[in-house]
Amino acid sequence: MNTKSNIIKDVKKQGRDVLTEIEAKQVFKEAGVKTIETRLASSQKEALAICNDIGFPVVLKIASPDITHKSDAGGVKTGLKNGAEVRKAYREIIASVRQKYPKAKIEGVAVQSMARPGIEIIIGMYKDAQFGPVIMFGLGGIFVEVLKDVSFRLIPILPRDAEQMIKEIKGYALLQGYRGQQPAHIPSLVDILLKVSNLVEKTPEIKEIDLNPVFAYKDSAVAVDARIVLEK
Amino acid sequence: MNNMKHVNQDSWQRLFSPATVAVIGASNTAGSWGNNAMRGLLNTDGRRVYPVNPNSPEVLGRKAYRSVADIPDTVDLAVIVVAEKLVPVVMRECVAKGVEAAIIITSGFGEMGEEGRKLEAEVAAIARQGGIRFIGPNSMGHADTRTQLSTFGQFGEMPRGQVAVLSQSGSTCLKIVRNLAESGIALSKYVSTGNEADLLMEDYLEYLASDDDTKIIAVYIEGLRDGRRFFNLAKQITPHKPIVVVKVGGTEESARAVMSHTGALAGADAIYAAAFKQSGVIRVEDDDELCDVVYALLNSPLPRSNRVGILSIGGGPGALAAEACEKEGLVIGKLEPATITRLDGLLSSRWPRRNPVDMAGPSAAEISVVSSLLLAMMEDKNLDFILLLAPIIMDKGLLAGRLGLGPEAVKIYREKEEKNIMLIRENIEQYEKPVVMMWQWRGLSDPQITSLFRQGKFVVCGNARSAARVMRYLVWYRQYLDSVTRK
Repeated sequence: MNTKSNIIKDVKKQGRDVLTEIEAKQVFKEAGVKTIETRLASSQKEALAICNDIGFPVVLKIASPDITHKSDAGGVKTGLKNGAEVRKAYREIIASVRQKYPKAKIEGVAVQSMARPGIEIIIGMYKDAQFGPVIMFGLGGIFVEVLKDVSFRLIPILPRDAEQMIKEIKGYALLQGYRGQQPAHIPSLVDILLKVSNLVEKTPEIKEIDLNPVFAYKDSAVAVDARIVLEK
Repeated sequence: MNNMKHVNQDSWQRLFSPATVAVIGASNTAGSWGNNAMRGLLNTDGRRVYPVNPNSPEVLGRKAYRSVADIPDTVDLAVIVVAEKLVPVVMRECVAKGVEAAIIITSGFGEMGEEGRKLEAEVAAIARQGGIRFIGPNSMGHADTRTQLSTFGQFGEMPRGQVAVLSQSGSTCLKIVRNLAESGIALSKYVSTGNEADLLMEDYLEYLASDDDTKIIAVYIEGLRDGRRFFNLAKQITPHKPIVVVKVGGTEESARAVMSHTGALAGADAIYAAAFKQSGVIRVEDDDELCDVVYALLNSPLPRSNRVGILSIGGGPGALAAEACEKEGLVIGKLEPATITRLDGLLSSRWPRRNPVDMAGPSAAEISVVSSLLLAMMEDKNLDFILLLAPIIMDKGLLAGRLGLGPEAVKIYREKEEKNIMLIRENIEQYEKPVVMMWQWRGLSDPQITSLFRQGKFVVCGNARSAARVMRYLVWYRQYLDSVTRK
């Protein structure tokens, strides 16, 4: 199996700066961050085999190192409940991407279990020109898009920094279980923040990270999508 | 962090306690920079000051030299006030003379566009190759009260104090210095850092970290060159010496190519704010707040937590103060039953028997009563600090006028007040409970009042909003300190 340093080395060797979702999730898995497992299917048949293995419902996403915004390319289908739906989705994704990005290299389609819905969180990292690597925490979805309700700390962070940055966002009440909703498990979120901080400290080649979304549940949290950009 | 200092101690010695100073561009023209700097430096006798001016045989009665090369003495510090075009030449002459420290007051460099930037780079290169460390250019001056050195062109003795001011704006530096002086706060050192072509804000901070004269560092920042270094230094300094910062220009977005969501969301100010929070730097909104917080830090212990007790001469001021506190996230403490019983014995039956404590009428505002009420509230375990909205010292004018006291009686009255103040101070220190005086700002006709408040370790604030904000900063800093020591 590829270790983290090998994945990053291989990606660089191939002249790429952006890891595929599958590669990025592998890096996070090794760093101790729980992710929704994603596997690559290079044919409809392989996709069905994976589904039989992991169970329905599933999500299919285009797997191409050349495509950054998968949804815009028509490369994402969610909530697929059976084999027929998976076959259809596979064909549609490939057709749509071929039409919109004729030059893109297509490795196949990534198959992952449909995560049960939780509170959407975004966790990320980038390098500030003045302060170097910083880590971000925020509520995902519209909260991050519209309200920019996020908090930052400089890496490396301590547990108290992680706790403070979670409490600092305006939407913190939502994480505590607003109006009968399930609360988010704060220790699991703290844990992800610390592990991302640790990963970045040990891997200077990483330039940017998005874990978007992370789903927070009442007893755990899991990264549903992951993105790693490397230094040029 | 490594222990290598970016600037060695000898350079700081030359900058802040030079035995000999050359003023290059010294002038006889009153009001000019070259005249001001010269006169300021002649303020004390303990230093040899040499004017350099090729067009004048003497400046302010001192023999002037055509060039720094002609000075028949070593030069520890060169103060450069010549026109900007001449600065490279002067810098070369200083290198040849063996000068190792300088301050460039002259402006017209990097702040003036591309040509100025080139000139600044040229000067910096000459200095670097010649082994000169320098402040500026475009600095308004630097000062050290221990050595009575000032290149600001100030006159008269500078009182020694424990607060250092670093400012990337010269006029803001002087405004802060003046504002603090008006509250009776003297300084250790202050520097207008100018364009920082050589010595950076981060360097000064590193120096002040180990400067025994400095107990509090007040900083005005427009932009840092090495934010990470500032952050690392601040993290080491703030457990021992508070750093209070005003940072402007926080809304600009630095141009950068990012591919992640995270990078796109990170405005420059968000990262500065995070860095300050994470390193225990108290970030305030403006220079007035900076002075209020410095005053409070210098005088008062830090409150243990955020529960406020309000003692007011009337209902209105108490309600205003309570609202301001709640807006800033402070909590109106619930009085202990024992406190209510104690206050019952001191107040008329009309008092509302809750916090804010309304004395219900000026008849209760006898100073000894105010002291007793205050002491009772300070002993309440549910309160972490007290806002005082009642007079506790009588103005000299009132004593003479309203009470018709003669000079001897005023003196006796003052002694009584002073005793009260010292009793309150004992409680402030024993319980670590700050008292914020919000009724009497500074002694209007009586500077003695200002100094009594300082003796009493009171925090003094002009209004409810600033009092609430100052206390919020103090509570935050206390909680930061607790969190780093707990680990």
